[in-house]
Order: sequence, then structure tokens, then C-alpha cells
Amino acid sequence: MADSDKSFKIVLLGEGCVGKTSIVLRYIQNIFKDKHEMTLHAGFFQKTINIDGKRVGLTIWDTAGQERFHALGPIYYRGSQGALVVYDITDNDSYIKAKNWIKELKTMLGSDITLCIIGNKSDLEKSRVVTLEEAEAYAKSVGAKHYSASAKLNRGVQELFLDLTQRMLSNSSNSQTISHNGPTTRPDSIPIVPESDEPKKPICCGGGQ
Amino acid sequence: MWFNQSATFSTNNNNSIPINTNNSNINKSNEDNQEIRHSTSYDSFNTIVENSNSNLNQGQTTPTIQIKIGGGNNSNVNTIEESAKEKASFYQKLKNPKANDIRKSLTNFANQFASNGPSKFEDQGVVITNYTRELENWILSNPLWLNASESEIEGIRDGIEKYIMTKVFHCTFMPARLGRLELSDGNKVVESQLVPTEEDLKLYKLILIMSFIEPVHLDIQQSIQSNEQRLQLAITELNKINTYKTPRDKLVCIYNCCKVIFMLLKSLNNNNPSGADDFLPILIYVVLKANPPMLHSNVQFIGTFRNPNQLSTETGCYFTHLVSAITFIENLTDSSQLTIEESEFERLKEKSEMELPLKLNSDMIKRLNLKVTTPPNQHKPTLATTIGSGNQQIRGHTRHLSITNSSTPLSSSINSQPFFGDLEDLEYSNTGGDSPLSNYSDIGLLHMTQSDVELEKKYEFINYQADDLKLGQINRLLEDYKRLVFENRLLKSKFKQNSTSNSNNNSQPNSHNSSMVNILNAIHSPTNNSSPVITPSPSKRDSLKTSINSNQDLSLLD
Repeated sequence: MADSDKSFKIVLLGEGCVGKTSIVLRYIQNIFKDKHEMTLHAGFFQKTINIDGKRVGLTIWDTAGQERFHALGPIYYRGSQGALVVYDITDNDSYIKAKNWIKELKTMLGSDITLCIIGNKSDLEKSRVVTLEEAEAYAKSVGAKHYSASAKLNRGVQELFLDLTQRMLSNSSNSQTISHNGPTTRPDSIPIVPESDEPKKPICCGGGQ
Repeated sequence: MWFNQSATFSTNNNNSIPINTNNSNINKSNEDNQEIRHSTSYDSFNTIVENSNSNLNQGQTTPTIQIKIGGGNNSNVNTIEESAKEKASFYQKLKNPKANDIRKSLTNFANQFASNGPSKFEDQGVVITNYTRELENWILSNPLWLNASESEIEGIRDGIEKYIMTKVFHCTFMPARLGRLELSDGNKVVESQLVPTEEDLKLYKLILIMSFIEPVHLDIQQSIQSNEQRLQLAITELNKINTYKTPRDKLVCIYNCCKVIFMLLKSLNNNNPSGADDFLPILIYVVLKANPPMLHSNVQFIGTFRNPNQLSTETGCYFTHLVSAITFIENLTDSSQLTIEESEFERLKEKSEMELPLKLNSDMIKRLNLKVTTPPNQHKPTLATTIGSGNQQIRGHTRHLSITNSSTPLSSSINSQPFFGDLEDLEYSNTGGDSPLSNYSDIGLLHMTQSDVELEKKYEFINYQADDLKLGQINRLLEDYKRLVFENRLLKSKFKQNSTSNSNNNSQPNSHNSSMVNILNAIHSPTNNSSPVITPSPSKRDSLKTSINSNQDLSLLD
């Protein structure tokens, strides 16, 4: 990434229709209006932000949220420094699915990855089925952070990205794993067959597609 | 969607977009295909390099992408086209005397690697990436490249990669090694010179089998099907992957393919960008339809030799999507991951497996070690109808042969005698000399062995798809067909006779053999005066035994 001091890969996870793509689009769109540097290609988002005088590059990788693609997760989140796990506050299935992702990410990547759980559609407070207290308590219990957001009303979106970036920065300065241009050590060539020890499919998730 | 489209997706601002999102345009012609094609904007760079005596005259054409979307001058990411310019500028600087050492090191490394490099794939990857990283640092410490911008650095990386990988392509890309490809200039390669690895064949076969999957099985929105042309464009782009040598150029093919899909989605989605939810299913569908041979090797090659830094960029993301699509296909063992009834899935898959040999050329069949099985219950009625309808034709053309032996109801005899056979097998078993006729009953299992090449020589349309057939070939096809019908009839009746006589005389199994030889000879002997329908090729005619009077054998039918 151009002339940035740090660069982070963020993977976007969550069931289909929870609005995960919308959140990023909303974020990128406002950045664009503010005349920050940005590039927007659907499915892949990239931008550079300034935090405490540092230029930080973010690449955000969208993933397909349908249940049938769940097993492909590791291909995307491998090598990520941050994960945005999005659910819809009006849809309990999507929340269960989000918890499954968090579990999986923690198992596979441990503390290398900064986890965010995002309750989207906070504008639909009337139809809320996942309580804020429960979601926040869960997030705390797994070392993640919970955010409420509404992509539609552009509520909480900027904040969560800023906070995530700061958390990733402090995480990386702790572990010193990130260098100038992202990891310079070659990630293992990506195998076509996913590792056998990866969780195959969450059993409890009955989320509609 | 509530997004302001001009702000989110500035496709209409100051960018060259050959793929028009307008349907009428895409439907117009191949022009779009031409536009997105790998253009030859490298000419200028070639001249520079060729004049420089630096052995850097690698590029002839390179896949330069012309689709640009994004933030224009504000963009902090190089489009592929921009990075190509940087690469050209890198080559230009390289011919400066101050860069002599660098140039020498680069050429030496490539030559050394090609002659003495490691042979194991993994080692090759490590050696090349390590060298590239060191060279990059060295270059950046050279005064010529002082204060190089990020895009210039990217150009340097691309330049190094292109130079090395074109030089060592023949010993690093597995299918090129298997095909014993020699060092050649230019960044293009002829696909037919490459030999797929076992993994490639496995994947190729699997995708062929899975190609029964329709968009609806992947929940792809219906409107996509009305955009057949754009889907076709994505397929075409992906299929170019084998024709380029460098990882970057191969990645551009993937990039182009994905870009076309995103454009297509965007046009269906009121010009709003779509996410991976919509994209991945279509990419999977495109991979199923494109099925580029050696896909596995290509993915492995890119993953091993592409600069890791580049794999975290947008092209890298699309590459990841491709890996993911392939993984999805490889894991498709049952109907649970598709929107399809299990029974329907099994039925379609079985059918597709059955038809597999028809979709492959004989070389592929041989390499896949395929056992070609014809299901009796499917083949039987086909044969019966063939003969039934063929009867009319033969009657019309060969009235004087009087083979319309109505006292032998062919279809009923077929049902009573399991004969699904292929004459070729019979013939080979006969030329082999000692094959007993008992093989005959096994013909339903038609084993494609070394004879499959011969088979293709003899029945030139055996591996044809409907699309392969040209108008001028219809006459030959019809002739072939009629000959086969005739042969079948002849064999049927003779076989029936034999089995009758066999039941009377079990002690003489060899008589079968000799009578089969007679039949076959009769079939293939010159028939100028007996049937205008049967016209074996001259070469075939020469090789056949002519000692037996055809009329005599044909009279058996009367």
C-alpha cells in the first residue's frame, strides 16, 4: 500500500443479508466524500487512514455469507489482522452464526487477530431480538469487542473502523508481526484443499440463506 | 440501496471502461471481447529493451487490463495498467550503465536457475522469492532508484518477476516441464504444448462431471442467465490463463474474469456495487463452465512464484476467490451445498459421469485411465431405435442387397441378446488371434485401451461434441452412421446364427472365431458392387483381408 506505515488485512464475515457489504460501502463512501484516498472495487476494499500521524492502510476482504460457503472461511481469514463479524440485531440465527465465526477465528488464529462483533441494523430497534447486553457480554467473554451500527443511517460505522484500526495497531506493536509492507514472510502457498482440522460446519446454525 | 452511486463507484469519471455496462453494447459484437483482451501496449517497452543489448527482450505481448474503476488520481493503488508502465520504466532504467551490475546479476540468476536450479517446486519458489527480495533491496539502494515511489517499487517487482519467470517458465511450471518445453522468448505459450499433471487431470475431470450444475443450484439470480454473453466473456478471460507465462499475467486473466462478473452484477444491481455474496456463486459457475485445463498447476504456480506482497492486493483477493471457488467444487460431494434435491443431484451426477468420455478427447481418456462404461439399460433402447430407424435408410439405398429380412425382428433379438458392442473391440480381439468369443458378452464394458487412438482414426466423430461438427462433415457422418447400422445388422443376424449353431455344437468354440472373422471381413471388404452405403476409406480397404467373397457372406442374410 502506498507510503503507509502499516498495513492490515481485515476479513468481513457474517451471514448473507446482514448487511456486511453495506457497512463497508458506507464507510468507504464517507471516506470518499472527505476526499481521503480510497479505492473501491466491489468485493475488495482498500483505503488509507491517518491515526496519530501514522498512515495506516486497510484492505477489507468481503466473503460470501451463505451457509454453503462456510467451509471456505479459512481461505479468506488466513493472514488477517482483523475480523469484522457482522450479524443482524433482528435475526437471532445470524447472531448464532456470528458466534460460530468468532469461535472458529479464535481457534484458528488465536490472539493474532483483532475481533469485532457488529450488530447491524440498529435503526430497527423495534424489531431487535438480540439484546445489546447479551451481545456485549458475549464479546467481552471471548476477548472481542462489540459495536452497534446502522449502515443505513451511517451510525457507528466510522467509529468502529477507527477503533478496530487502533486495536490492531496496538496488537501489532505487541507482537511485532507486521512489518512495513504487510508480512514479508511468504505465507504458505494456498492449498486448494482446506486443512482437514478446520471446523467443517457449525452444527447449530440453522440460519436461512 | 441508498448509496449515492456517483460517489461510490466512479466508473463514469475519467476512466476507460471498455466493458460497457450497457446491455445493448455488450450484445453488439465481439468488440468488447477485443477490448478487454490482453493488448499489446508493450511495444514501446520492447523497442527500448531490444535496443539495449541487455537480453531483456522478453515481452511481446502482455495482458494489460484496460478496465479501470476507482478513485482516479486519488487512488493509492496501481491499476494493472499503471504498474505495467512502471515496469517499462524499470527496464528502461536498467539499461543505464549505472545499473550494469544489477542487470548482470539478473541475467546470471535466470540463466543459472534454468540450467542448475533446484528441481523441487517448493525449493524453486523459495529461491526465486528470496532472490527477488534481495535484488529489490539492492535496486532500491542504487542512486537510479533513489526515493522510488510505491508504484515504482511495484513496477520493479513486476519487472524482476517478468524477466525471471519468462526465462525459467519451462522449468518451473509443471505442465511445461512435463511437456518438455524449451526456453522460448516472449511471455506467451501455446496451450497444446503443455502437459497437465495428475492433479490437473483430476480437477479437470471433476469439473467436467460437475458441469451439470446450473445457476439455479447456486441460487444465482435468474437475470444473470440473460447475460449469457458477458458470462461467456468471463469464461473466455479465465481460459486464457494457460497462454501466459508469468504469474502476474496469469493473475491478470483471473482479474479480468472477476472484473467482468462484477460489472455484470453491477448492471443488474442498479449500478450499485455487489459484495461477495453475489459474486462467489457466479465465479463458481464460471469456473465450472470454463474449466481451463491445468487449473490446479496454475493456481499452484501463482501461489508459489507471485510476490507475496502482491497477493494481498486486489488481484490477490480475486485469486483467493478463485482458490475458494475451486475448493468449493472439490468439496461438492453431495447435494447439501447446492439448492437441489438429493435424488436429482445423484441422477445428474451419474449421468454426467456416464457422459464423461464423450466430453474428452482420446488423449484425455487415456491419461485419465478412464473405464468407459455404457449402462446397458440406457444403451439398449438406443441401439434398437438406431437400427429401427436406420432400416428405412438402408432400404432406400441398398434395395438390391435385400437385407430387409423381416423374418428377423431385430429389436427383439437385441433384447434377448445383450449386444451393446463395439465392432472395434471385436476386430482387435480377432487380430489378436486367441480372444475367445466369450469376450463378446463383455462388450458392454468397453475398455478404452491403446486401441482408442485407432478407434478415433476409424470413427473420426467418436469424440466429437455437437459443437465440433462442421457442415461439410455431415456427409461423412451420415456415411459412418449408415455403415455402422449396416454392420450392426449384419453382425446381429450372424451372431444369432452362431449362437444357434453353438448350442448345437458346444465342442467347437473356435468356429465362432473364424465365423466372426468372416463377418468382419465381409463388412470391411470392398463393396463396390454391393452397397453404395458402405464406403470404407482406401487405406482401410487395403489393410483388410479380401480373400473372402463378400457376396457369399452377405448371402447369409438372405
